[in-house]
Amino acid sequence: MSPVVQLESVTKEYGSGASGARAVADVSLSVAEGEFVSVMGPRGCGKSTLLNLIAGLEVPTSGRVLVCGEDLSRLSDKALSDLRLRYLGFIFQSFNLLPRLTVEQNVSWRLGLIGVSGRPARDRTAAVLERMGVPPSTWARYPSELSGGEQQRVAAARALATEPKLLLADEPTGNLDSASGRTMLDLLRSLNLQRRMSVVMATHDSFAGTYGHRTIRLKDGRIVREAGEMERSPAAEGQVLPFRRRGE
Amino acid sequence: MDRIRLAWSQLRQQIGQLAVAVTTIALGVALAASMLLANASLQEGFETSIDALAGRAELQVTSLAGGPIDEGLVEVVRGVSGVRTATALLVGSGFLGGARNEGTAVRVVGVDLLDDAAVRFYRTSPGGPAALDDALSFLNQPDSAVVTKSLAARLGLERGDELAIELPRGSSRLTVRGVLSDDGVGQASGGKLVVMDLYAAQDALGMPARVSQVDVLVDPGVTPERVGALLRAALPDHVSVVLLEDRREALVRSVAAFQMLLDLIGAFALLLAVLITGNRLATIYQERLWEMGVMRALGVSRARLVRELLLEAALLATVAVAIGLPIGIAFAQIIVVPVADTMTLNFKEAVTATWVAPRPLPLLFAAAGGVLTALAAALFPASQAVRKSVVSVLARGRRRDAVSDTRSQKWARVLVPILAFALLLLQPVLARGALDAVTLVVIAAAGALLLVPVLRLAGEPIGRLFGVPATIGVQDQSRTPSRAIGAAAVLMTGVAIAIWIASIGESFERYVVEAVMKIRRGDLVVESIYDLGAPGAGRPVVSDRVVDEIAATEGVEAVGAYVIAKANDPETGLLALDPIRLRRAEFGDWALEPGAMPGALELVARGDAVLIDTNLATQRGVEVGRPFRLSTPSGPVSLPVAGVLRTVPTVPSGDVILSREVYRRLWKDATITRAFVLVAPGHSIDQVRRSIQGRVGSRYRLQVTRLEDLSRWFASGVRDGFAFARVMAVITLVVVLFGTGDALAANVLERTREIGTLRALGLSAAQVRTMVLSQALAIGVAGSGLAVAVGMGAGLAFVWLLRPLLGWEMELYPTFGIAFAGGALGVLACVLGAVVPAMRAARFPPAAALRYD
Repeated sequence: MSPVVQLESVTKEYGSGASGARAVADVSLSVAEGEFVSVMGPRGCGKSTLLNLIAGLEVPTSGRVLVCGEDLSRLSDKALSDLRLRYLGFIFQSFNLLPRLTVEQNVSWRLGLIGVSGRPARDRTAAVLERMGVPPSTWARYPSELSGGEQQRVAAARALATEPKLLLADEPTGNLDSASGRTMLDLLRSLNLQRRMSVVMATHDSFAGTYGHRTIRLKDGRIVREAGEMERSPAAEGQVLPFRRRGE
Repeated sequence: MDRIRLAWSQLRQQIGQLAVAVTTIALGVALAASMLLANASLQEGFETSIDALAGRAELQVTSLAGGPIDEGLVEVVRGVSGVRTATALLVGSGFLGGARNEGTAVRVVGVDLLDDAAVRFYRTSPGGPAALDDALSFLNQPDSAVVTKSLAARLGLERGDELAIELPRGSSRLTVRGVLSDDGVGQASGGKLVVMDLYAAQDALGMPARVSQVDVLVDPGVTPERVGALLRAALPDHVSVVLLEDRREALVRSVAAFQMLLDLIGAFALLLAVLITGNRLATIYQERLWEMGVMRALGVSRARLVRELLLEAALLATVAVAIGLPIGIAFAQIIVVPVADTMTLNFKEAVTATWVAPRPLPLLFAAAGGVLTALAAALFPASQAVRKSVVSVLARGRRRDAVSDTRSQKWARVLVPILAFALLLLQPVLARGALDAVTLVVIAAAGALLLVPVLRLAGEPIGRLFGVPATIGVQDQSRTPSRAIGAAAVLMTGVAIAIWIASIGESFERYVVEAVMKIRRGDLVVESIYDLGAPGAGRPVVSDRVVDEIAATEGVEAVGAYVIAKANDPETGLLALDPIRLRRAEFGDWALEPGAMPGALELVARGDAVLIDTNLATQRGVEVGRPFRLSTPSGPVSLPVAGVLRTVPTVPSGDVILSREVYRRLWKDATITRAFVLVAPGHSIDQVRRSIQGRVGSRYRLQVTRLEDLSRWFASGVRDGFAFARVMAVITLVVVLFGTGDALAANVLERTREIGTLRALGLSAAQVRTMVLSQALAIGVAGSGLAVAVGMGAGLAFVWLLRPLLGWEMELYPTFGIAFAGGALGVLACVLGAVVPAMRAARFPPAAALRYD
């Protein structure tokens, strides 16, 4: 089975020459279908850039990024957008909900783009919001009227509404209190297990990092440690097992 | 100084973004400066023209009934105690002959050169008033003429050359025996002036022993008022004695309203600049919210922060003023000629201004306007920006959340438009004046309040039409519509102004043509070949003998002529008609206002009564049945008013319509201005036209045209009068394009992060482009739709205000064509203005856009 994500010696530099900065340096990585990978490291280590490269939001300076078998560098803007729309879900640290759309609209607008509209769109939106634990009383509200935890659940609902194969989560608990953060992590893990959705989560929180099957540690853009093979495949067995670090 | 340096360094950081604000204010300042400068220059030109023929005289004796007075009265004037000099002057008009200048109107002035020099030529340049070779020879030869330097240069004339000219007594060839400098009297009629000896002019103009005016200088130590009183006592009733200062002031007052119109255009330019700059500054302040939050957290008070922002705005304005003033001076040189032509057409007085000097006061006003514009533009967004709580600003940065309308906003959005509509409906029945101005303000406020709901209304169908990205875009902007409102407000204001200007011009043209032509009907029109609108030339008239000759032409069923004249003190237009024109419906639609006397038209045709126009009735409170007193050269006459007619008067104060037989008898004037011909059944109109042309055309220098040509001539005259307004409408639309584009760019900039999110979640660059263009389309439809309503509503309210401007009433015609064109241009301007921002938005690197905060 081909990996959902494959990075081949990917480097990303900003600027050039002496003033240039290398955000990602010669990273090779493969994420299998149904795998939950945590990318950890301190601020500025290149986690977000790595996710942006996978999403095709950044173009690598060198190397190749393949998502669902597609070489992103060969895709047109339209094809790339279509790939993001149909196969990727993105959860941001700061939620990035559209402030002028209601909760329901924030979730449903992407469905319109993939041709799901009217009642089916409303039904699917309702289902995904319910699944994410967003109470119906809040669906007509604007994001600014919700708590941080609620906003992040809406952001997750938005990401999942199109039933993506790959979920990218950039510090999904970064702006949440610990209880909300834990709820969000549980949500991600259950999605990963029940839907065989691949998840790549960037986090600097070591507790959050334990939710992945595999942890990749980044420092100055390089993978300094790749640890934690699965003791058993949770996806295969349908069980929820927190990842344990080697040696624990 | 430190604060200025600090503010300057802030400005320098944002110089790119501020370029639009600087350009907009600079354009506003340029337009305001050009209007003020041109105004000042034109006012001087107008006053110079008025003064030029009066020299430094203090009193003027003229006919109360209009027309010339007996020259014997000059001696009576000279005999009055306190009169130092009394100089007679005969003023008429002529038309230049020759292939190149055929038909150019000139003012012909007869003066007693030897005597007049003391009074009139006082202000000529050194080197002598007219530099005559030999004054005696000049006087002895009746074909002698003095022309102005500018006219001589234009015609290539030198002393001794012949000047072909058409005068009422026929074609003449005058010999140039002197050249007047272009100051002093040479400035009258914009230099289109031919001076003859008084007695030769009386002969050539067909007014023997008559003079137009007597200019009086009083003895030292005697007041002109005192001498004026003595003169009134000594002279007959039909002669008017006026203080020239009073007359000059009255004339200057008559153009004050027109000048107010010009000033208003300058003010509108600054208003647009306020809107556009306000939009831009609001965006810049929004971007600096975080920085302001930090400053507030570090102890800077709100008031101080506002002061700092206003200081920055003032510095911005200084730069804009420095750019705008030179542009304004240059622009004034361009607009002064068409505006002078408009004034000449409107006031029948040659107004010339070839070079606009950069006067300090108008420039100072324009500069102050520019600074105030920037401060006004900055004040609202600055006070809004500093009002936010420090914590929320620091936490949320630049992001703007959706806000719901407050209860008062909701009510205002309903009540103010209803009030505006009600005021418009009530306009005709309520008292006018201040209410008209209030209505205009309420209409503008209603337009502003309706922007948000109309934007939402327009967004729905546009979203459905252009798909999901468009829906997201229009929903998004209709919920935090600050920038969208800014763009729509600029669009609405600009397009409304353009529609307003164009509607007034179009209505004016249609009203004038319809009102004028309804009482001027027939198959053919016979009139002088010369231009009736010639500045200062008076109306060309022809002998009424021509009427009989036309009537005798084969195929002519009937001829009805009229003559236009003017009575002074008070100024009243005279429209004297052949009785047949009142008796036969083919010559005009004489539908009188309700309340006319029974058989009113026949009473007027018989010479037993007069009609008056609505302006005269309103302005002087004249009622049907009451006697109307007319000052005539034969003494005062009172005739009852038989009815009131709605028409365009020949003078702003209104017209009296009377039988030409009465006019001819009392005014001793046997001329006509125009004759209308009915062609007998069975005859070809063109054949009859050729017959009349052949019979009398060349002999009397007449042209025979179809009625439609006269209608077109009136229409073109009005169009020419509004030519500059059309230029202003076009400039406004260009500014709108500029301002809307800027506001849309700000709209996109403010949504950078959202655009990044949309891109990250699957929107393609093309879809982002569609989204921004759909937003612009929604803004265009909302702004232009409201502009049409506001522009036409304001136009309707403004026609009431036009009365003091034009001196008479008019009706506003529904100019749907202009409204549609204005609206369509507005939408187009908006979409065009969005092309660059849309492309920019589509090119945003999504990852960078996501980091934008």
